[in-house]
Amino acid sequence: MNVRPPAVSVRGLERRFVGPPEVVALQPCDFDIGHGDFVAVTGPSGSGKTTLLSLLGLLDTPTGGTFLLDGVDTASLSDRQLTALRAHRIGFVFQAFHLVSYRSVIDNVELGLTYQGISRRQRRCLAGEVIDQVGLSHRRDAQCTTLSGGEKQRVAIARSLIRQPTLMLCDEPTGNLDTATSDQILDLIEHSHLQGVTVVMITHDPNVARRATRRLAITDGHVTEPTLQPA
Amino acid sequence: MTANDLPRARLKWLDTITEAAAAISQRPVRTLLTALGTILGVGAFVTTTGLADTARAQVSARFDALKATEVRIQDAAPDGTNPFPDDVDRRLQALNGINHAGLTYPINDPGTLQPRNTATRPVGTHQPIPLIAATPGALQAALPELATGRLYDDFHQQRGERVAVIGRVAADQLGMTRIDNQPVVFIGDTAYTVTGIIDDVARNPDLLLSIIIPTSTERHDIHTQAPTFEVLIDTAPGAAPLAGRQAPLALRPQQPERLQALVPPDPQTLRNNVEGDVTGLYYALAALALLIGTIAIANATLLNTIERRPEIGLRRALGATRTHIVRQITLEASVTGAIAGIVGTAIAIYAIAAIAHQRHWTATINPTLTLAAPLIGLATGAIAGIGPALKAAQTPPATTLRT
Repeated sequence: MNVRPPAVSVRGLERRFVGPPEVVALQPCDFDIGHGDFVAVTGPSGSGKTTLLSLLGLLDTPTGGTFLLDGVDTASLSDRQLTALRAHRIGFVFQAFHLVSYRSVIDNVELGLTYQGISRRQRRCLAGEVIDQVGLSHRRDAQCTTLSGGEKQRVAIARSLIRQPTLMLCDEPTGNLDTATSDQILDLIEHSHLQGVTVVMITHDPNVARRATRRLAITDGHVTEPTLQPA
Repeated sequence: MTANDLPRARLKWLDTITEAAAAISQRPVRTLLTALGTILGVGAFVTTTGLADTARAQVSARFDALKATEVRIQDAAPDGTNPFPDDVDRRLQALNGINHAGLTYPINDPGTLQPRNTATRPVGTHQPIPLIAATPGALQAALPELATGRLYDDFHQQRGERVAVIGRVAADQLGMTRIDNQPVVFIGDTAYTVTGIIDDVARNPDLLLSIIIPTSTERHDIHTQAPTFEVLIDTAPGAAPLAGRQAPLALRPQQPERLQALVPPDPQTLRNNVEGDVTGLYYALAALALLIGTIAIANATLLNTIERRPEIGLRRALGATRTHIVRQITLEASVTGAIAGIVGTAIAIYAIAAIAHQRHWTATINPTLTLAAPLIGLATGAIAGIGPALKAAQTPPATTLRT
């Protein structure tokens, strides 16, 4: 019988930045994340949360340890293969939204599929559907510079969802939003999780972290897994 | 799953063009600032090369117009007799490339002629006004500009009419400003009707100081002794050497060696040197302008790329390969360069036309260069854009996303 490997499997993963002075942003750590998990990574500013997320998102290269994504050792992959994994498997939601400011909402959402070789007509059609899902139908042709923070984050989530990722990485997705808007954004992320997407969400807000089913804590680059208190 | 199971990240060429077009068209101010260096560079390049061509054509025209169209035929062995036939004008104007030609010689005044505007002879000594005999062709070959009246012609020449044309300085001495009252000048005791006053000449400036009468009239009325005969020829540009070879044969076929043709030296070498100097200077300036333009667009593209680092990081996160990033940024820079090349060329053509108009030159624009200028802009953009594009593509996405 074939046992499905975890979505993410990390052994001795570390990231050092050569100095001077040398900085160990992530101490060697071990953990697994199963398929369909919703993991919140908490910790104070500068603790290494974003470094961990960059490594999991194949945006950065670890200086030690192994990282298996769906059982594939990412260290053995070429830059083209890593790019292909990002293009087809991983979705990103950033605190700073990272929208292309001079493009419209639908263009930004469509950008999520641009590097998958899908035709423009199909991209347009799928983008319209996802924009409906995040409740931005009335703003689909608006320039991104005219959107509120919450709308921008919804566009970023739509851009991630359109790719149908197996792993969604969210870096402080509610960091720039008010409480009501944060709840709406978390609902969208939670909905993705319920659809079977593995979600790793970085946050320093305990209330936001409570929405996750599992938590990892990171302090000074050390990753630990605290025991969740029953609600 | 294995890595080989995954389809590759792909960006269609049409999507690359769409993305580049959006980046160019939806940020017009940024595009203009990026393009400004190339507009200036290509504009200066086309302007300087265009001015080089215009100046070279002007140098050529000046050489042709002034020196290379004048031929003089003189008596190689003067013995006091006239070595030229009576019909100099007719014989020479039949030759190819000759516009005007005729005989001219100064009239010696032994003190009895005393040119003046009254019948009464002046008392005492006065500064004499020089007298010149010239056929109508010789007068025209001097390229005169008339202040008033007209030149005498073949009719007056053939009939030996007592007419005269006077130069501007001589007219001032005689107090003569108009001819509608049919003024006369007296040479000796004979009256000559003045038909015109010459304001300026391109050749033989002594005509301005003198009273000029037809040679036939001079021979009948005065018959000066031992004058220095000379034939003056005005040729079409480039025809002077030919006229210099043919004129002695046409005028004195039985003894052409008696006549000596003074042909201006062929200015080809001098012209080529001057043109070479002018062209070299302008092309050096053009190359400098283009270099400055390339540096300017490289700088603007670099700044633009630095500003867009988060966007580049995002594209990498979404699956863009390094090649995709390089392709898009280079395409943007190339298209911006080509547009700037077209705009720069258009401005340059206006500038060349305006400068040429102001200098009263004929604007000369090389169409090959004009058509090539947008391609120069495109190449400039591509060369300037490739460096920043490579640098942006090689930076890890995590780094570019943090900025």
